[in-house]
Amino acid sequence: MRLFLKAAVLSATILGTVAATNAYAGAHSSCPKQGGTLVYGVKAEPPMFDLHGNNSYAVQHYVAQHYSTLLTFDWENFPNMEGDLAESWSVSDDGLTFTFNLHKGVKFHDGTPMTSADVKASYERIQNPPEGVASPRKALLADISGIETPDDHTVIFKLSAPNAFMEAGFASPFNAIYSKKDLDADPKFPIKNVNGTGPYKLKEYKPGEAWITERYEDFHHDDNCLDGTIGYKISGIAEPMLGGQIMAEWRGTAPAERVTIKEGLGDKVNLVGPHGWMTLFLVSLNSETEAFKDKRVRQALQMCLDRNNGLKQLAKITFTSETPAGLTLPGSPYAMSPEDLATVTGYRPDGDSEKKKAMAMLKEAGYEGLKFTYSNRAVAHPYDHMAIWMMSEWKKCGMNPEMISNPTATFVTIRNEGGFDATIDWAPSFLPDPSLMLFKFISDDQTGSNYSNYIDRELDDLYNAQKGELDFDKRKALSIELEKKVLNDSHILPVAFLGRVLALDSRIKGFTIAPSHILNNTYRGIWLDE
Amino acid sequence: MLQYALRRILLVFPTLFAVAVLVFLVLRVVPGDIVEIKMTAEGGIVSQEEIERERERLGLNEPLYKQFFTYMIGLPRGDLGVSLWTERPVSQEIGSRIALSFELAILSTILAVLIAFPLGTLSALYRGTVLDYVIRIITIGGIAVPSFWLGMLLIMFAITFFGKLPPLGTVSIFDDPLTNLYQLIWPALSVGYRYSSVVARMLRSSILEVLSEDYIRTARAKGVFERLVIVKHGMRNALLPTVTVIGLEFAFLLGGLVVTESVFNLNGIGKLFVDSVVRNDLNLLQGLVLTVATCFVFVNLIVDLLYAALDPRIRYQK
Repeated sequence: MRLFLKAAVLSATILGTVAATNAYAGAHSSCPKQGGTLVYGVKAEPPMFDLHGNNSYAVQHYVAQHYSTLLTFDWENFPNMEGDLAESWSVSDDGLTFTFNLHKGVKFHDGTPMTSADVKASYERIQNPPEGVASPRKALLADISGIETPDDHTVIFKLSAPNAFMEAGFASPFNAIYSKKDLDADPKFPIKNVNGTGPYKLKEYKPGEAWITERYEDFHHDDNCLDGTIGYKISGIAEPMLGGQIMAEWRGTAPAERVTIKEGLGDKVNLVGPHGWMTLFLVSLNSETEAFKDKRVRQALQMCLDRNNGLKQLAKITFTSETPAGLTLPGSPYAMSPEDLATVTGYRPDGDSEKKKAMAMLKEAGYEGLKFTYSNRAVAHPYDHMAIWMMSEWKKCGMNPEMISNPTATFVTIRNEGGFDATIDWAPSFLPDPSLMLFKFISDDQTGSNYSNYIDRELDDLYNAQKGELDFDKRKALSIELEKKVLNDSHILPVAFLGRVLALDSRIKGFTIAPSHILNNTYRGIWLDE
Repeated sequence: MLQYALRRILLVFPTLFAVAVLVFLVLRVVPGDIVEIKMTAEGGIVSQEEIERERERLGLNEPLYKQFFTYMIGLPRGDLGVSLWTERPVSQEIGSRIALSFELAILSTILAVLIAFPLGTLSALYRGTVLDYVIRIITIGGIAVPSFWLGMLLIMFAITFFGKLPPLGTVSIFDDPLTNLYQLIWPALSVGYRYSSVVARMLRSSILEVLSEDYIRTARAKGVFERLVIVKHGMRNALLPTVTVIGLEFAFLLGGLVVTESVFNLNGIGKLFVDSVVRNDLNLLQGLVLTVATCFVFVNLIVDLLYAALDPRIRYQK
């Protein structure tokens, strides 16, 4: 029992929280200056306003500012957590009970008081979406066996099995708390309406054009420093920045855009980053392709990608990171050390020697001069740039890849239907947690997003073992074992994580860049030095 | 004239019906699935069961004939269905944007006509002179330079010399005409230049052709003043093909400013076209195609009626 408790405390400490004791409320300082309107651009249009029901970053950039979650992250010390609606929280020794004490006096934008019933209704909506409601991440909450609300300001989550990810899951920016009153009236209410407890209230939405908000005076923290925000739908970043039409774009800039913006605006703009970005780009090899049934052939493709030299060059022309990475974000708690990674197939330092070995393996397997199709998404950054680099690397190994580029709609269909030999693919996460970052790589019948379509029960067992392991070291060991197996099997060829650099008007203060574009989009703490 | 007009108007309905059927069928064979784009294009963990549930919810699992029937039943009532992306009515999506595209098309047309008529006429009247060559270089340049590229140059020009671009977001002409003009003049110039070049070239050719006709020589032989010969006898007849070109270009602008609207961040139906194609939003796409087709048909109708007004021979034909 003592060992278990130690494990739980260590695990929580790694995540920056104090398990089994009270944590602290939002620790942002109040605003150095109040007022002004933050004008930003978003390159996508939200399909709906429901944070529970989609993966779109546009929804995060527009809508997240209207809602609160139970917990949130301390952005300056990510991935430490702090309370948002929760004033404090605790985890039981066995990791099966999470108790949250909610802030008192919190009100929704329509004036309705926020209570534990709203939290229960929101989480139940994610877990068991009613007719007409989508919930793409409900599997992440599958271990929640019950939600109790002993009083208006206490919520207790009961789990059916220990789940090391669960605590961070309460800080997921997708798990917004909706009003029970709204959900009772219409479970689909949040799809087209907004009523949250977040720092800014929706004032007007002009479809395809603008998202206009104003400060919520009764916000339960004191760090909504702006009079309001305006988000504009934009096509590119450089021209609106240079022309003074927007002050920020929150997804990320490509190197060429950065240069243009910096040269044009000089001190009037700050380039924030590069910061690790939790989106891993990878190549999925179709397990049905005859040549790829041979592990030697898959490994040869892996070994021909000289990540140690190539990624440095790639990072100069597109927004990929120059650091070679496996399946978890380099430098994050569960990532392999660079030394460890350098021993894995495809990551060894001598690229030329690896290529020679790869060519010998292809010859031995009877696939010298291998021909295969590579399905690419017809988007310049980073897809085209990565594809050109990989084509060139594979050709150096004597292979004959044929790149087929398609617009998003066709590309997605080809990828989902398995109409490719190799395809570009990506795994975005909002937390460097193995349960999120490795889920894509387990058997296809378990994850639904493994486009290599392989079945590997050993991987599934490793995944489930790490998920239920509350001891940090043991969990990390299991996670690395899984990662090494995936890399060695080489159905998946990781290319690179992204490197996030934001171009922000120098008047924007109080913003901390997060390792994902779907994080830290509530605009809390941001103030304008005008 | 009335009979001619009625005949032309009655032809509009079968044309639009054929367009509606064709668009519905053609779009159904285009690969791509909006649900997969919506739920998996940005990654994330989505089970096949969730994707199926969403398809069911959006009615995409309905048999094709049922979808077609629902679509056709709605059309006479102006019901174009619901956007599969935003789930707002297609008519609302188009309605909130068409005014801007319409305004831009009108402004571009005004600019084009103002530029094209003097250029085309002067080029024809001073055929073979330096002035003619200069005008021809200008107009060929207008046809050769893509509008969106000119638009990008104009943006760079504005940033370099004024240090700013017009504010984003649509400002209604009725609320603030000056800001509205400031926002639209740049895209109107970039589109209007090409448009004016096409019209000027057409006008020049037509005038030259008409001026070589026998009845012009006869008028001159009768001692009619040169200005009267050109304006009354020449220009009026030269206007027939020019009006056709202006009409077709205007209709094209309503849905064809796909790249220009994106370059200038204008929330018109051209940009909506791009978005609906990228998302594979079939309902919105068919609504847009039908709307643009309707515009084409009606502009053509107006051009035909104008033809009849300009040339009595046409309205007397059976």
